Amino acid sequence: MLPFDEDTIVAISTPPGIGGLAVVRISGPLALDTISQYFTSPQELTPRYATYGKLKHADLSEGEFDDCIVTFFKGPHSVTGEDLVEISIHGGAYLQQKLLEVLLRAPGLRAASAGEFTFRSFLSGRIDLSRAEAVADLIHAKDKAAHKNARNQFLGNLRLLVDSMSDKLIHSLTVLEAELDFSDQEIDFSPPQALIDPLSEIKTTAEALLDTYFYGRRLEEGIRVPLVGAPNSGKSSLFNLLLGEERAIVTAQAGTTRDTIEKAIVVAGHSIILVDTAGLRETQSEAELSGVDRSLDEIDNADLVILVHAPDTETSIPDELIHTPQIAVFNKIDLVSDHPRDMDIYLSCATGEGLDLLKKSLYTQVVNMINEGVGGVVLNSERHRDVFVRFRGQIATCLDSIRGELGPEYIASDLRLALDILGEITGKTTPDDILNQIFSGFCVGK
Amino acid sequence: MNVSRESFDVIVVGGGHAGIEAALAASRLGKSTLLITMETKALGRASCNPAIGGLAKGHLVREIDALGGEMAKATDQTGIQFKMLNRSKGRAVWSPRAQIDKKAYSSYMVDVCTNQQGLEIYEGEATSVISSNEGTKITGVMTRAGRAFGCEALILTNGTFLNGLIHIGNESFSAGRIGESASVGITESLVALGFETGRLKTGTPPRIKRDSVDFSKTTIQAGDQQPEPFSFSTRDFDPPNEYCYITNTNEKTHAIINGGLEFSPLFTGVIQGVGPRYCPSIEDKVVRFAEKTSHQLFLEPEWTDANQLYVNGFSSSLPEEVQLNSLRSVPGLEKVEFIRPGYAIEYDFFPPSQLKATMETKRVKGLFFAGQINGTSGYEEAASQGLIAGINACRSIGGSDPFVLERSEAYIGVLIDDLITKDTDEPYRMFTSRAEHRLLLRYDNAHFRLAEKGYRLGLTEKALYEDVENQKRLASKTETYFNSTYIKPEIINGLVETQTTVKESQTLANILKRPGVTVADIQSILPNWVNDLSPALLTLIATNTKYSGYIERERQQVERLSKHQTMSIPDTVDYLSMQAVSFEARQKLDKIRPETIGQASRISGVTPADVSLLIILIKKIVSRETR
Ligand SMILES: Nc1nc2c(ncn2[C@@H]2O[C@H](COP(=O)(O)OP(=O)(O)OP(=O)(O)O)[C@@H](O)[C@H]2O)c(=O)[nH]1
Ligand SMILES: [Mg+2]
Repeated sequence: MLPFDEDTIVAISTPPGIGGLAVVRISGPLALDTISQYFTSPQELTPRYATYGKLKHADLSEGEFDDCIVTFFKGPHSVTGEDLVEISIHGGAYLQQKLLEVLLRAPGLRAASAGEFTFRSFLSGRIDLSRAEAVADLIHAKDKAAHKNARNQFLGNLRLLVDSMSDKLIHSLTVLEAELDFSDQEIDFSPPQALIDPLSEIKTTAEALLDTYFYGRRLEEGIRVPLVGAPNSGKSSLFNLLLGEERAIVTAQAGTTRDTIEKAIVVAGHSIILVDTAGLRETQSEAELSGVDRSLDEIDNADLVILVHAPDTETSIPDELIHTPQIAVFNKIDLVSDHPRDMDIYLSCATGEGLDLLKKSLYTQVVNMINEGVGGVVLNSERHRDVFVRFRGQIATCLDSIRGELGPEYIASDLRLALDILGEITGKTTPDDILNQIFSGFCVGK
Repeated sequence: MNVSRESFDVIVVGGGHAGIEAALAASRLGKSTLLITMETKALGRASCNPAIGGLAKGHLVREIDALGGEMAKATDQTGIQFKMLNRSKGRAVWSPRAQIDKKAYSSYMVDVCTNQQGLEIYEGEATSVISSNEGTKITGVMTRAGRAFGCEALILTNGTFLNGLIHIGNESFSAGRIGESASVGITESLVALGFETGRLKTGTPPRIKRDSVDFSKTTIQAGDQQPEPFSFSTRDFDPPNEYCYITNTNEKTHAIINGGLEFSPLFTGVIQGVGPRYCPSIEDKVVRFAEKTSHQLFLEPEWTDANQLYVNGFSSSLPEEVQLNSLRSVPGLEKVEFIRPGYAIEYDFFPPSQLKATMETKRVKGLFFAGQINGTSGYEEAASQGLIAGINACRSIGGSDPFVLERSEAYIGVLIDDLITKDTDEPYRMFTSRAEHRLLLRYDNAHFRLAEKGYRLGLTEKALYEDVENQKRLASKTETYFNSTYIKPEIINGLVETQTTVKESQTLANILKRPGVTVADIQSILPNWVNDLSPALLTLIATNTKYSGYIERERQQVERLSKHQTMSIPDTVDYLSMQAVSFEARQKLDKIRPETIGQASRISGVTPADVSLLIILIKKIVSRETR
């Protein structure tokens, strides 16, 4: 938390995972400007009045945020004492997250740190002084939680990775600063151009790390694995077998499953959300039709699909499946003796044969996904992602300055800013850190 | 010299660079001032290298000038070689430096001080401070001769004199500088008042006879052909341009030094004080950077026509014989003769976290410290503190607001803020990298930044202030012209060589922003009224324009460091009981006792979360007290 900072911050302010109404808040000088770029409504935003309208943006799909209520509070008459915008939307974690991501791409906005909204409220005098102790406890607790989290494998690895990036940056900065502060001495200075390679490397790492974000989120929320196929292919049977309990209804009638059912299992230490879906077919039944729609949505949203085939059903592969990793399963091998060739797994829910092979395949897929991270690190928090987006941009600025042959003090200024951004994760780098590097690395002194 | 009275508004102890600025500022602000020095003719004596300014230090000197101090003027009058450092880099880190004639510099200062109205000089040694209210308020100072002087404010600028101990090889003896006695008593009287003290070390190289050097084996280093003065008020500047000479040590030199280490007080542990890493002795360099087979040495004249040179880069406390033998292995110095050997000096200092931003001690009202007594090194750092202490001593007497420069306003602001919030463990020296808003704090805009403040204080002369204001107006007019005047592409392409040809009209400002383009490239299309501006002003304007993006970014960062920075912390706060604040932070805060939240946030080990908590707890305390 940066108590001197007048940035505009944004955060989801409903507890995560609770369905129904969700509230995203923006606080700071840019709050109103930002919302006016996304929000359209027949009415003007009036302080303290809830205004109904829709959110529009290239990155938001049509209709996703049609029913929103935006309330604007003009500072100092808001809980944070600053201009504050509250956006209420319908929908679960996915939509909240998406909105947050889109807002964080707006210039000048940054993800709020733990307790930051509360702290601003306190500073503005909105929280009664008698509750000061409670706020203190809150920040204290958040701090402790952060420490505890740091022991978590992912955060620990992230920390190591960020530290090593930060060390490389400090080294680059040292080269520049030594030349600025000791140019009257006989040191062999390397030109700023020598920093292009190490900085490009850092930028590549930052990009790779950002690429892990989507997956990192999924690790956090659970990897979605729907079972998809024709009616009666045995999806519900397989679902129950994988769960080890009779969760879904199984009947000989095609079209049994209508609504999706989901349940988490743990594979390779990660939470996997298995989703049983309605069988895909053309149908007249309204209930079944909407079940099929939901199945298609699930495929859209899937990380991995288990496509269930059976000898007694005809599977039509939907278009939505083309880009999604999948495991093709041929079920009911107890019924027939010759099997089609192009399947990944052959099994029978009736006898249990081949189930181990499916579990192994699931395990391998999950482990592969994890290894896609950078050095075992995946980004899974919106705040960290926000930091790296800004960091990548700033490193690009540094590279531009070097290529544009600006003076070393300007490049140094760009680098310092990059270090400051990274410092939001690692803690601040001080001028003394740089001077210490200079004194230990160069023989200075006349 | 006769002193006319027993009691003064302000008393300054010590006539070095800090003491002079303090005493001049106080007397110029109309306070009756006494300067106590052991020897009047030693006023302004440069005890180490014969140079003023240099990287980051040159900025300090310019700022002192803008605020009405004396150092820049003295340098312009007595400098014998002027050089702009970092000229190949961007303007923000250009820094002026001058070789001075030490004798002329000192006598210039003697002249100014003895002629200053309201300033009296007492030759003698101050031996203890006199206080009242159980040692919480200063009332005067006692001298060795037994004469006591009363005062409202006392500024101590004792330099390296407090219990000074000089080391040369295995020998050590009490002294303040070579040939001058140490000052004994002040430290003890301050410790009795509860002050914490420590020991630091610094060193100086040998002085050699000029006529014993074979200059044919050295490289000549001259100053700039078109030197720039330090002071804004210096006119018709035409200083001498005397040479310095460069030579290099070699493996033989290093072998001799290594052979003498057993007699080095640094390596045998005799010297306890911590020395500066940026100004190591030659034996330190040889040991710590053993892989380097050669170190550069600069032979600098100490004054015009002097048969005495300063061996910059060869500071040492080895026995004289080892110093001499090793130096004789250096090209050009085969037959070198010493005037005196290098030496190390240990002295008492008072960790500056005991000070407020005004340089007044937190413990004793009316007592101010400035200069090396605060653990700094360098003439320029000392003078800056002296000036600020002098100003604030006067303001504390009149009950005016303290005068404090922010880190974003001046290197002097960075210097003092660093001193009071850091635990210095080596002599502190200014570097440009210490100033986070370096791009705003250029040497060439020091007067734009500070002259108005100096004038309002009553120190900066009216003529200088008006001159600066006039230049500011011209600058903003020209910047507007640059931003609003479009030039056709065919003209641009004929003027500046760029990789890509320009296809559309562009403003003069955007042309200047192109890599490699300087104001000289576009002079032919500028109107006369712009070309008639002084070269210095035109370059300043061009720099503002060229780097406006960076300057704007810095400004925004400064603005974001907003309101809570200046929130003051009551001095009764009990940090140790703040359980929610981390243990390390509690300890540090309790030791340093910052005056503002801004200061607290810059103490190492105090995290942003700690600062947030601190704000909460302090608001609570303040509200309880006002109830
Ligand atoms: N012989 C045999 N029958 C199976 C096997 N797996 C499932 N069945 C039967 O196939 C029928 C349909 O099974 P479900 O699991 O309900 O199929 P579904 O794919 O969920 O069907 P819908 O929900 O209608 O789309 C049931 O009668 C199951 O007992 C198998 O491996 N072998
Ligand atoms: Mg089913």
